[in-house]
Amino acid sequence: MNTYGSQQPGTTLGFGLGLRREHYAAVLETRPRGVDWFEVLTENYLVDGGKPLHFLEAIRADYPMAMHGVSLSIGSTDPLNVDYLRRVRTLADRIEAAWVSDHLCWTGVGATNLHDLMPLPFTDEALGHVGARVRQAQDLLGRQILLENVSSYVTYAHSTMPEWEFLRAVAEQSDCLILLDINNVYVSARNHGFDPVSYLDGMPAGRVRQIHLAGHLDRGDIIIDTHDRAVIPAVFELYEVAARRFGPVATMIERDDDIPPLETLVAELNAVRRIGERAWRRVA
Amino acid sequence: MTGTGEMGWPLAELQTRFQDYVLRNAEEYPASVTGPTGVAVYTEAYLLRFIEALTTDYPVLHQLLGDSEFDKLVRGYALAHPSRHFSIRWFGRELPDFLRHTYRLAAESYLAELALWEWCLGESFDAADSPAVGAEFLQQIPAAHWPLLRLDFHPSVRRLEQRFAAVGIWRALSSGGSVPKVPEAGSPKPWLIWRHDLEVLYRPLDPAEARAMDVLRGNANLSDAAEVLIAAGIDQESAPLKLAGWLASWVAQGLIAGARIQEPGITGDQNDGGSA
Repeated sequence: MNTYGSQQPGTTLGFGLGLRREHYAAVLETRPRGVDWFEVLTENYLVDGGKPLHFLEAIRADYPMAMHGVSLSIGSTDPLNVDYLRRVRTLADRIEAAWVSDHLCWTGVGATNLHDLMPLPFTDEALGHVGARVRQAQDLLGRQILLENVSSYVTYAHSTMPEWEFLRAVAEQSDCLILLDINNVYVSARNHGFDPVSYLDGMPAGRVRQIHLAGHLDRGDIIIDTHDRAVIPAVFELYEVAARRFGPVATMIERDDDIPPLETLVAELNAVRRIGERAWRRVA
Repeated sequence: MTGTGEMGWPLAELQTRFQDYVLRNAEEYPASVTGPTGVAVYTEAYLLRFIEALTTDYPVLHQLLGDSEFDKLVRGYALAHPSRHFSIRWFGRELPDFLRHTYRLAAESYLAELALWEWCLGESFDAADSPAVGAEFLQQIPAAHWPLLRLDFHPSVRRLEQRFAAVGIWRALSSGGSVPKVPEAGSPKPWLIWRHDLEVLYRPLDPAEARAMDVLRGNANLSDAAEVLIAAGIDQESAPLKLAGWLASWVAQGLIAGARIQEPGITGDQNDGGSA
């Protein structure tokens, strides 16, 4: 059931990048053809005016855009922030966002915001809680949302199912879509010792509407999702498995720190495109 | 409580306990959360994220204090003012006040003044958009309406008083210069920050101009503003002329978004200044 009429399965925006202010000028000057669309960080544009919204609209004139938030806190036991959701909806309408996504996590309780993506326990209690809130958030936003799997550094002893079962159940119970972060699958698989391909196997293919790729920091004892370096070969390999499994899904690179010139990221995205398109042809 | 933890706390209690541990309000390790190395990732990232955000909001303060002192400041601030907003953009709003209470020595009071300056530059940067009126706007106002005119200033306008000339320190450090001598407190000097064509600008104000601007921003009309100037010692004939001159320069600088005659309805660089 798709009651909100967002993107239909089988269509894709192609290959994109996370839009960062360091690249505003370069994007407008060079209009890179290797980038099909941009993802913007929602909260950066929930401001009243000035340069952020100016550049957002200027770049939106040339590229489709998806919105990616970090403040929905869908798993928190605090009430949903209705004022926040109203602002997100206004922005999504203003830029005609292709879709709106956030994370399967909680970011704080007791009206405090940790500004971090805290993992949930994978229990029936959490499933019921999150499922109901996703439906509420979708009603307030007037559209289906995409929920992303986060990188995690802890697990909970009382979890009763693996993460992929939990994510799948949330999506199916609340009729939401999935933003599958391949790097996060890799990071959490290494940190918690599960097989990342089992994760991909557990995904409801028709609901995976976007894919994230990013670099991480391997500390040896633990891997941290830092978005401050290039995507590693093992994550590319996992992406190829995902691209064969899920077919043409909008795919992009996130880079949030140690940000290189735009052309470096476009070159990295070209490598992703070659892998993705080759895998999609095999599916076809 | 360990037993409950192994069984799993209800979600709300689990989140409260985990958060308290990350915020360092609680010593008790959140049982049922496995992996101390992993928990440390969250506790360390918590402060690092705020240090990064406040370095963006207060770059010159950070430069002036140095990494170690700035980190200590953020640590204390985060404990006293946990983030309550959905966006980290607003986390640092109370830092100037916090500094005022943290650095009590008179010689350090300029830090709070510098921080307020940087915060106001940031507020002006992404304040609401509004078209500024052009010079023709003033010509359309009938002479008889001038005394009753109330002005709408651009939403990006911020007014500050500086006792330590923090803007001098800010300007020296933000252009790569060395730290100037710590200034002595003097009498408050008025400054103006605003945004024009997406650029944040600033300039000092003449004290009388500042007084007029403040009463007009408080919704007084031009006649009221003239009375305030006269009460401050400007003679009766000069006051309206001075106001007219300032108004013309405010319009030219993009400070005025509109004007009204009593009821809402009608809308329509100096040398020391600079851009941020």
